[in-house]
Amino acid sequence: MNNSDDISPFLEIQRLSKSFPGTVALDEVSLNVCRGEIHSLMGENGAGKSTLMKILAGIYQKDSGQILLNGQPVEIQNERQALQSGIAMVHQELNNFPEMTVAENIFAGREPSRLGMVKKEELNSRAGIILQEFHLNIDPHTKMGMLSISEMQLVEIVKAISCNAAILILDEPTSAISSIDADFLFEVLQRLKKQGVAIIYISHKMEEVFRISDRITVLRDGKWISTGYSTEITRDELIHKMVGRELKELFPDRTSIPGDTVLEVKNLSRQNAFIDISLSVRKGEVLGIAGLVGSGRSEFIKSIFGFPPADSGEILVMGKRVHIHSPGDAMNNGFALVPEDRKLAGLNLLGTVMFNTTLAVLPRFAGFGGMIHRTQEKQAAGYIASQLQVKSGTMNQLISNLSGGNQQKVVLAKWLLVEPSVLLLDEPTRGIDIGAKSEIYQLINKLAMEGMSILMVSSEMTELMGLCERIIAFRKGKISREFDRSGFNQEHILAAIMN
Amino acid sequence: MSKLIKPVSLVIVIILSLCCNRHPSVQYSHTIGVTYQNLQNEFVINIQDAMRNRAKELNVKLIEVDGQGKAENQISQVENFLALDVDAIILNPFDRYGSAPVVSIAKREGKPIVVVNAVVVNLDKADAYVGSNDQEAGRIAATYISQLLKGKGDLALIRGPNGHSAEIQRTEGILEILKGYPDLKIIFDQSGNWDRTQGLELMENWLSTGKPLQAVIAQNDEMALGAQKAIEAAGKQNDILVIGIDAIPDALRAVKDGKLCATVFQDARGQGILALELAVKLSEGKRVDHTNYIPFQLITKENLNK
Amino acid sequence: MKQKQIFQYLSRYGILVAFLILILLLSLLSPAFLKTTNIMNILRQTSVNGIVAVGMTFVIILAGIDLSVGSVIALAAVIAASFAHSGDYPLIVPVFAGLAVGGLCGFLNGFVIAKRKIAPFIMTLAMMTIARGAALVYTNGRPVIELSDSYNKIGGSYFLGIPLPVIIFIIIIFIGWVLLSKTVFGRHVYATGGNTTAAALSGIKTGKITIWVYTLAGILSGLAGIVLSSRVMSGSPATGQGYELDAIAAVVIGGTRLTGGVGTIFGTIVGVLIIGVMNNGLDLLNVSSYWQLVVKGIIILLAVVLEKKNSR
Repeated sequence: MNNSDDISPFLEIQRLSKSFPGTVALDEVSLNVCRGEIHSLMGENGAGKSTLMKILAGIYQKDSGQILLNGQPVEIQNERQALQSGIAMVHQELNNFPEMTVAENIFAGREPSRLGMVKKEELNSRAGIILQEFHLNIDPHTKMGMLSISEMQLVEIVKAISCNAAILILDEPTSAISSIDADFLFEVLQRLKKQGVAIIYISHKMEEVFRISDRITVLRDGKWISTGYSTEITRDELIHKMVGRELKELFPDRTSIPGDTVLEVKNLSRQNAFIDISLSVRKGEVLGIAGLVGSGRSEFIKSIFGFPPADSGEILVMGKRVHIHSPGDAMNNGFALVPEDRKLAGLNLLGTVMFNTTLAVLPRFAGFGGMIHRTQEKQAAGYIASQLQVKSGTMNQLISNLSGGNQQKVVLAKWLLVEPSVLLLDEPTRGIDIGAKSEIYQLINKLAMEGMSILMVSSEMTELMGLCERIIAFRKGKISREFDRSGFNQEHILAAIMN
Repeated sequence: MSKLIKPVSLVIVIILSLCCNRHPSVQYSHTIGVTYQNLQNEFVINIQDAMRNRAKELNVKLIEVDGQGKAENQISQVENFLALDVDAIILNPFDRYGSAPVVSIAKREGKPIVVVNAVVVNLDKADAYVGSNDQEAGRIAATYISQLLKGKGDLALIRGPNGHSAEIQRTEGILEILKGYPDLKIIFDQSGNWDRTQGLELMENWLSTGKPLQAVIAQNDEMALGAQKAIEAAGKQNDILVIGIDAIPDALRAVKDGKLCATVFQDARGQGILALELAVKLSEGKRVDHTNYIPFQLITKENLNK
Repeated sequence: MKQKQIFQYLSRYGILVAFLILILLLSLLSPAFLKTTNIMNILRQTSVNGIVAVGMTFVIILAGIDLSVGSVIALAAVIAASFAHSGDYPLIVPVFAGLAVGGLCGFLNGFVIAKRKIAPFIMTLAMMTIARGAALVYTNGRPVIELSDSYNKIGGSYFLGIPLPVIIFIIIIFIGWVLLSKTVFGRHVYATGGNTTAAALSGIKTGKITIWVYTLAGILSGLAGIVLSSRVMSGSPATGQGYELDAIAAVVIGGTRLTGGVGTIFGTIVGVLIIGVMNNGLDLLNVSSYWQLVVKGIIILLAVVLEKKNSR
């Protein structure tokens, strides 16, 4: 246990363990949280943060260990019991009813009612009062689905607090909201802190963790590493603890020089998505595309991949015009696409690691009657997985048991097996931890040096500026500006993509 | 969507008018609405054929609809008949209870209604009934089997769908006769839903219990033929008698080949013709007898060719 | 740890355990149950549902559903039977006609679902009425009878002491198993059913897979229609009613998810056998047909609840 002090712990977690088939997700982790404290939990994906929080919230059941509230052991079997014990969790993937009003969402499952009829007036007036207490300017009659992501998050927090939650768990609340919205969120958290609510905060963003937390606990590979006051630890020390090794330069220099033009796009357009896009990528070059969500950046690279194809314009590979009507055509012409959302578009979460790794190249292992040569498949999948250092118990493990970073590596592995000449990347490091990010950066570098042409869409400026030779800015479906490496400047790029 | 409604409904109207007005020149003497219990049943189709032929001869326009084995269909169909202002209605009820409202509805509107082949609980309210007494069919089959077995042996009974009026009455008839023979015992009793495959599978399962069996009474020929198939496959065709009811062509052939010991002939043609004639008379305001039985006949190898 | 392993093993094969318990129970209750002839009966009676259920497994893994199988069975049965009058054509003609009609219905299902993006439930519901109607139109509602001996042998003869329908069923199981778990096609079916977008982005022609899967299901329904009509020596347009529900029940009991992406032929076979054993056992025990319905429903529910509990 860490150094105990003057404030008595409100929530104590003692030697908590949890395994899933093939992995030990939590290994005797102990931790305490006090009233009126913001306690941040840090660690790479797969470190066990989410598992720990899901046990507290009653979604998973612990294998062994103890949870104490106010010194009293509690058993949390399900989400209802967690709420009754005063523990509420705001999930990364928001769980709300978009077709119901804000008031209905806040009181879902405990609507004020008489004789089974919901008292609408009371529902709305009570919701209004609670929202005002939090200084939220949201009409309780609005449909939940009409709110912005940050507003939905705030409503969920309001809902949790209105259930008399004494412990509030926030899982990466700022991953999808703007910095202004985040500021507002932090204000709300400070107010809750003053009210004596214990807040457990999970985030990958160093800056905000240092800004808001009282204490920081680091987990790594399911084990407790350290707990300390945020004022007593430096950023570098924290990274070191999380990764368990010195984080070398995140973006290593490339020594190679780009060669001939491999991909050329001329006047590509698709209705309601992007207009008249022309660009080219050379051999061994990484070309970045910056833009806001809805600027047509993802739609553009999906259209190069034929999903769906563009309405007009030309795509040339090595100077020859190619016709791409489907992903199959794109693959035949040497393209590979790592899509934006790995859960929705990149992976089959019901399948194994092997299933997902070889899916795009199965015909290569086909013999008589389309039968798959298992040994060949295993060899190929095993080779690429070891190259990419995918951490998985066995290749027959379900992909859903892997951490986000490892899942993303499997998506990359799947597309590297295709041996593309042009690799299209859409947000390749979204939602993964810094360790896995750094590995993916190294990989992108290595691939470029080996002569692969890479077209990469990203929302992270540092990532684009660290990896790309050139950056093209998209705004409202059009190219607004192009930057050379020498002219990279975060403010200028931001200005070019903003409306 | 709403843009489509007009053209689509126009097309439907055109198609319907083409279908219905194929002989616009013919002037019919009467219009009669018929609702059949289920036109997927061969026996019902035979009634339909007889009725159609007789209607043509009498220059009667028939509006025919298929209840598809659902009493509620028959009710709404008869409501449609009333809207079309038919002269009389013929009901071939599917369900003894469920189809009964058809009679009430017709009588409420003062339309003559003839019930054919099967019965409904409020049969006395209908103007006429043409059919064969299903109890009699059961009695005939059970009597013949008890004669062949000399009043002693173990039997299997394959019933029609539970609750079907023919199933209820045929069972009553069968049990009534068997009461007189204490040594004739029913050791297996299940529903085969008028279906040949089900008759076959029931029999296969019964045979594999190893209990000796002297005869099978199936409440229709389809199930009897299925049971016979299982018996033949087990090599017991000389040990177990099978009797069916309805006398469909396939069953008659089986009787001829000695595979079924008998079937009970229900005169579909006679029922259809008489029902139509009564409906015509009623719509002309004439009086008819309420209950009209077309007798059943036992068909064995001996009287087959008659 | 040892106990845990046993538990994991049990949960993995939970449905098999349920099946074995059912068999144990029935063999205690009825001495006839385990006799060879009865086992042959069960296998023969399950073969038609089994053939259909193999096709249904593919369809459900694809996150689809096929409500038309019962009607397609009837249509294939009457068309095959109409070519099977003795002496008219060689045996291959009715067999081919039955398979072709089934395949055509399945192809139409798949084509409309894949190309017009119609929900499988709706399309196959439409096909269910169309095929039933077509069978009635084709026969005027009367069963097709007087079939040739060679045709009747399909359902009625034995090979090495095993009924021919059972042999056909076993061959279909084998083909289905190889196709689903050993080939590229099978992998693509899982991929399409599990995540259509991810599958399409992996270069899989999901539309083509959909069409093939429904066509396969249609061909198997056609085969079922041939076996069924040959067994009862008549092609009835009223036959096959409710077969889609038996097949769906078997597939779901066997652990295939109705939302697609997960499932095995092995599970389906166990599901088919559970339903078959249950039907046979209730007849052997001479349980009243009213009660049979209740008992069947409860057993299906228990099997699925057990499976659900164990798959967590």
